[in-house]
Amino acid sequence: MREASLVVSNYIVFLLLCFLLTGIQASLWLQLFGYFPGPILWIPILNYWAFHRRPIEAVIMAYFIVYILSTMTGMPLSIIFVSVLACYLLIFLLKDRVLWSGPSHFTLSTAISAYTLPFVILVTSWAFEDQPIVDFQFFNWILSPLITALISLFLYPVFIILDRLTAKGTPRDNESEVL
Amino acid sequence: MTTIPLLSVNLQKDSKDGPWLFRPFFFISGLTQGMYSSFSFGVRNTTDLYLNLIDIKKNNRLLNEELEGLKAQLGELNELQLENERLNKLLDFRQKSKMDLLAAKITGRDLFPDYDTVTIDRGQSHGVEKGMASITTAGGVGYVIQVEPYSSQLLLITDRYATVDSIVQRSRARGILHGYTKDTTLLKYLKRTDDVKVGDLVVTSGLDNIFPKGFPIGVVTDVEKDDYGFEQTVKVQPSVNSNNLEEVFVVLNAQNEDLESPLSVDGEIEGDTEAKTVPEESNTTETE
Repeated sequence: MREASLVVSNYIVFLLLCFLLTGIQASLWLQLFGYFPGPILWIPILNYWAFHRRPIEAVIMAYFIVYILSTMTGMPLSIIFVSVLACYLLIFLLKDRVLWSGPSHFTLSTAISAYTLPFVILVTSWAFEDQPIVDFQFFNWILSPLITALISLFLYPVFIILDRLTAKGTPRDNESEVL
Repeated sequence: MTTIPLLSVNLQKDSKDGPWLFRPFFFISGLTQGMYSSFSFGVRNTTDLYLNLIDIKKNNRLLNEELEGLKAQLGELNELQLENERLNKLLDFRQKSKMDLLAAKITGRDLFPDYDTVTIDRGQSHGVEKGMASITTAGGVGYVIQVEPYSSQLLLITDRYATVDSIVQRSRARGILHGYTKDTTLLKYLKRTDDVKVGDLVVTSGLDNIFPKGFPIGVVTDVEKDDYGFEQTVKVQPSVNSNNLEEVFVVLNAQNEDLESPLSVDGEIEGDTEAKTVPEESNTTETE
């Protein structure tokens, strides 16, 4: 019973954090920097869960993230689903193939998934939308993941603290030992 | 008693008449004193200069801080002035318009840059409903797609999912405006024979009673007629730059207002310079 409540509280804490971070991305960044490319702040959470949770838990989290994102975008739900799950799949495939430890590993995977996201969205858009994306915002594609990766360095300790608070334990570095 | 005055007369000293033996001593003594004096002056000057420099540095720092503070204040004042001007224009427009308008502030943007939606600080509790149009004094902005109690989401006309019933002001050719890129929209379903030229102003048709009739949407920047087919591709540059949006109006009720004649011709609607000039040209064509 206690275990279940801890799992639920862990989900709730991370979902609240996801709301906060996406709120920063959508609103606070706009107030501070205008329409300058901003970080994709939900990607670090997806990465963290992909790394330090069982696949089923991470996929459930991915679904929650999709619903949170849908409240702050005009992107159709189906495309958000495909994009986020594709992103998760990429991290899942990547996590056991790169032998770095701790925050650097996390930052690297965040950068890779953030750089991949626009291409995933582009492919999904061309596959499913009547009017696909024709506006290639290269400046955004380059800068946004870079800022995301930098911020993820600072988010990693926050995630660890949240995990400790909900008795999840500190993630181990040797989790990527299978090549 | 008589010797005293004599002695005193003898003792009266005349510098010029001092014994010659003392002269070099006086000279050297004067030189030495002068040297010491100039040295002490030099030291004092240097010390003063140094102390002054410290003071100057301190003063400079203080003045710089003050200057920075004043600059920041000036920046804030400029920003306030700009905001004031913007709000004045909005207020003026609102007072002159027949429409029922609700002013709103942009509080958020889309999480994905490929989609053009913004969040405003007005929602259901302020009377906002799904489908209501949003405008600025420069032209149409978009319409409400999601309503929450205290906020709403607007789909901008530049979004690929946005459509607005529009007409070319000069020739009255009617089409549907679709979002295309961040700074371009496409006017679709125009017949190949429809008269559209670069520079034509595209306005809302007002048939939906969502947007007021004749409200500027953008200016035609490119017309492409394929060799085959019944349609032509018309690119329209929106009169509102979605990247500079700060405040908008939500049209609570368009009241069937026709803005084409009184406001746009008088130049009350502030848009691009092109958007302003085109109606004058087009009106002459229209009257012809």
